[in-house]
Amino acid sequence: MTDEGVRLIAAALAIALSTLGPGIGIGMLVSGALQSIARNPETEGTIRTNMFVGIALTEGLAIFGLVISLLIGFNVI
Amino acid sequence: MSTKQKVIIAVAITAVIGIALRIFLPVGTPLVSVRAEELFHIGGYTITNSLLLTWIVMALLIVLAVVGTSKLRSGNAEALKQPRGLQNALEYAVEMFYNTMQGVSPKFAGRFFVIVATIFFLVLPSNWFGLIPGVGSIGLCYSHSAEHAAAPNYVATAGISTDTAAPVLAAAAEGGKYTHNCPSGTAFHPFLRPGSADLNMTLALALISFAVTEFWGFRSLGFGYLGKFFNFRGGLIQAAVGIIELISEFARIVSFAFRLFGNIFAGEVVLLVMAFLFPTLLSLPFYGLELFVGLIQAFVFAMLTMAFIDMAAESHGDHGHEEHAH
Repeated sequence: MTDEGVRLIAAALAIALSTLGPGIGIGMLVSGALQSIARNPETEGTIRTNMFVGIALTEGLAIFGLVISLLIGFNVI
Repeated sequence: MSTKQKVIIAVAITAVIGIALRIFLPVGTPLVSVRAEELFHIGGYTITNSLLLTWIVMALLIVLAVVGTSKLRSGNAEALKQPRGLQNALEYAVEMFYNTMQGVSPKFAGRFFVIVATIFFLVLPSNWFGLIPGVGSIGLCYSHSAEHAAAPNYVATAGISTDTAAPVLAAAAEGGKYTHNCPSGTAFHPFLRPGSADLNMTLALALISFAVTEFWGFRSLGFGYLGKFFNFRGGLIQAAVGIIELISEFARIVSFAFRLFGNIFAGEVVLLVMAFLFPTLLSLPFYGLELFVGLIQAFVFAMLTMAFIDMAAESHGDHGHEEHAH
């Protein structure tokens, strides 16, 4: 296995593994938010705002993975 | 012949044409460049293709605003009461966005609407401009300068397009004189590239958003704002939470910048790869997806900025009280 090949595998693994957790997390977050909106529709504005903030924080983990993946893939580290 | 049959026949014909084009015409390798390509220099400043498209977007926005409000500024009382045409459309967009922001932050929506709306209305066309055929697929071959040679990861092989230009056109460009397969030693630089697909632009927007948030935090709470991050009176747990808050405050810059860049750039690459995989039809559903993603990302960027401004203004103490009042 060449050096370049290992690098590509590492880049792919970095983004693939780092999207697993946030994927599950965002799914749970949105499902919870939708359930509470369905139960209590007049709070939609507040819940949606908090949902987006939560999604942003969760998604941040995947974005760190993307950054690492790009750094590996383009020979920066 | 029913509509359903017509659709099936049309799909079958385009599929056959696509397969034929894929087989009989030579297909290059797709060109993917993470960094924006340089076009020319003005007095020591490098003009990249993403900068050029951002200028076009800015000019478009200015022209739209000037044309749309021309009747208003001329003091036409009727235009104020009954907006029509372009003015009506612009007012509709701004008002809808304002109402959404009002839902996010009822207290500060009016004060910060200028910044948030500017971000939204700049990012949205920047995202969507990348979907126009020709953006990213029309360009010239530039010879490597010394700085390019220093960067070993610079992709020199050029494909037919970095976007889904009309598939037939793209394939025709392959066989015809418009081929982008540049000679060795040169690299293909497209004339235009969406601003959001350039990390510099998204990082700049993220820094603006961060600066506004911090400014408003200090403005409304004074130096008590720092108490959110350095909280040593509430014990070890509170101190650790404060430090984590501080880290996540700075991580926002990274996540803002890379969320927008990652989504738009990945969308470009997906469209490109799909167009190379199968020249007709396949990129069509992804086109719809990218329209949606472009809108959502512009909205999320603006909305998160608003939400963070709102969060920065509320002190740690009255947080629970605030929630109770709602």
